[in-house]
Amino acid sequence: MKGIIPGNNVKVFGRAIHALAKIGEDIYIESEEAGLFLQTVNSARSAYACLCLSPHFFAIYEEGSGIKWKVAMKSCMMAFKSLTSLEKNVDKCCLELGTNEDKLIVQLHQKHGMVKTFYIPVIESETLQAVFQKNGSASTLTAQSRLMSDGIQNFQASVEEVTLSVSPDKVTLCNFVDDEPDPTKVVHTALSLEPEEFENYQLNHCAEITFCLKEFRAVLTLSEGSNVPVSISFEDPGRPIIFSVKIEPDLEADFVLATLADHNKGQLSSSGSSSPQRNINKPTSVVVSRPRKSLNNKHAQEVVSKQALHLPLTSTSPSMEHKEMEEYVVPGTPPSKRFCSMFLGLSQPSQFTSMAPDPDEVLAEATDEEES
Amino acid sequence: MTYTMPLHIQDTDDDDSNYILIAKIDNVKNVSQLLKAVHFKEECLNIFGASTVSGITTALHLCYAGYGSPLVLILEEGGVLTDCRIKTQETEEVLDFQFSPENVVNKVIMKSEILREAWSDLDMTSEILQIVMSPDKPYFRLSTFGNAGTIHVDYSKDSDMVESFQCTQTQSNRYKISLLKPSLKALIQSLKISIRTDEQGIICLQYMIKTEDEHVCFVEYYCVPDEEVEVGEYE
Repeated sequence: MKGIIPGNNVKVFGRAIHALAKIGEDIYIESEEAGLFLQTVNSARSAYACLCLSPHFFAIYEEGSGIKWKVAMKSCMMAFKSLTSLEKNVDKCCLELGTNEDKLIVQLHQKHGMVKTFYIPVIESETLQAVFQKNGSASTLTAQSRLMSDGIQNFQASVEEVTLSVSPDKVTLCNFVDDEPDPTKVVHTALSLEPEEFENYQLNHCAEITFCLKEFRAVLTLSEGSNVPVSISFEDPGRPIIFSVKIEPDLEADFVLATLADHNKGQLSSSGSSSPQRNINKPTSVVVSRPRKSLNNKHAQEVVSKQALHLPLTSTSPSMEHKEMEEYVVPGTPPSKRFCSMFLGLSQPSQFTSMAPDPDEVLAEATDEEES
Repeated sequence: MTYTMPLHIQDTDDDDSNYILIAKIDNVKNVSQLLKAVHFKEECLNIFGASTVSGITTALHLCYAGYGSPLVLILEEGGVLTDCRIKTQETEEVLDFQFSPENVVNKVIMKSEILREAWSDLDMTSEILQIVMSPDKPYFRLSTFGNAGTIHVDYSKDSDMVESFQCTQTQSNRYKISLLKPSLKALIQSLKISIRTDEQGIICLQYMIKTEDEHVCFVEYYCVPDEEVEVGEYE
């Protein structure tokens, strides 16, 4: 795979990496004829992002015939650390990975005859596949990034989740307060927007969707820099919310965020609403299937990809996850996977399973199979 | 590290006849700025005042009467005199790197700006910084080998940021980053840097610093190459 990104797109690319870095710790990269795909998922598997760079995003693009690999986010960030420097100094950026190489080469050709070369170790050759429907029965709102970033600026830095309430004549964004001992002592911020402020306002039915603010900020990192609108697609609470950004004409990005299930419904049937655990909230039905193959082994790839794994995404805030993990995780187990299943099993009221995938389907194991 | 700057060295007069060194400077900031560049402990520099009020300068009168005597500092700011006496200690022998200009093999003079940019990109988790200087490509290369990957920063000898490029032979030396890091303080303040290496790979980094009063001063930094690295360990 070889790609040369011209100077005017380098900053966009850098911002895309920064947006991904706000979500996950690894980047999954795939080079296909249709372009270069960059994906990431957060450790709780409640947020996923996929970027597609068309071949026209590059000055030169030689596809790597379906080549797939994974690199550490922090390694990637070495090359794209400073957006100001990328914008001011970089004339072009070359990405290169040979078929049997274990290093991704990122080369920044800068002004004043300076060339920076980064050899980024390829951790593993694996892929990430998210299963979500973008154009289902969803409602879609489209707004300028500016409108949204101005909006979320009003929230305190400590706010982790926000609720988007949409009705035919009003959109309200407020901070989600749930696990505070005394909700009356928490700052509540609500902000109303008129439908006229949106470029597109296609509402199927009223909805109240709660999602994490941190990942939403990641979306805006990408869109605001290029001053492009963000499309928000959503269905019912508990179903994923999808933020789509299109930077014309050659970069498209989808950010899929888990949402909390309808907490009002949950409270009615939950016996212990004062429980410190957030057991009134139900994980979403977003499913990430994740075939893995051993390095450079076509045969193994086919075999393993049939065993696609379904990892339901959980709908908690990061701090919540850690609390849960401290209580239940056996030391030495991979935290995120362990957490997925533990959390589902322990805190999900069984009456809601109809809206979410069966927790028994959670197959968090078997991803480390090595083919010979 | 050594530094040189113009101080007014006075001939001893009647009042100061006991001193073997007397130096006066109108703006003490010129001194404190350079002391910072040679990695002086910041708290020791508070003696020169932290005031940044424009238009007010502090003058310094520095005297030393010889072995065993305190270093006398008289600071004057807006008619207020501060008299300080700092106890002096036994000196440790200053290490002589025996770096002589005749033995210089490679020499590059460049604008500090472009080197600062490289420093911010290099991976500080790397134990060593490798410097390649060569009459041929890659001419001048800085490399780090950290946990997150390997980084090379190359400069062309024809860059508009490179003022002088006199490399006679290809040299690749590694220096401990922990040893080079203190010289960053000088790099940050400097306008230009001259990088020289001798036959043994000892590096001399000379930073050109302009003080507030437009005086040109030089801070020199010497470092020996790291011997413990096996050949072939790094790419």
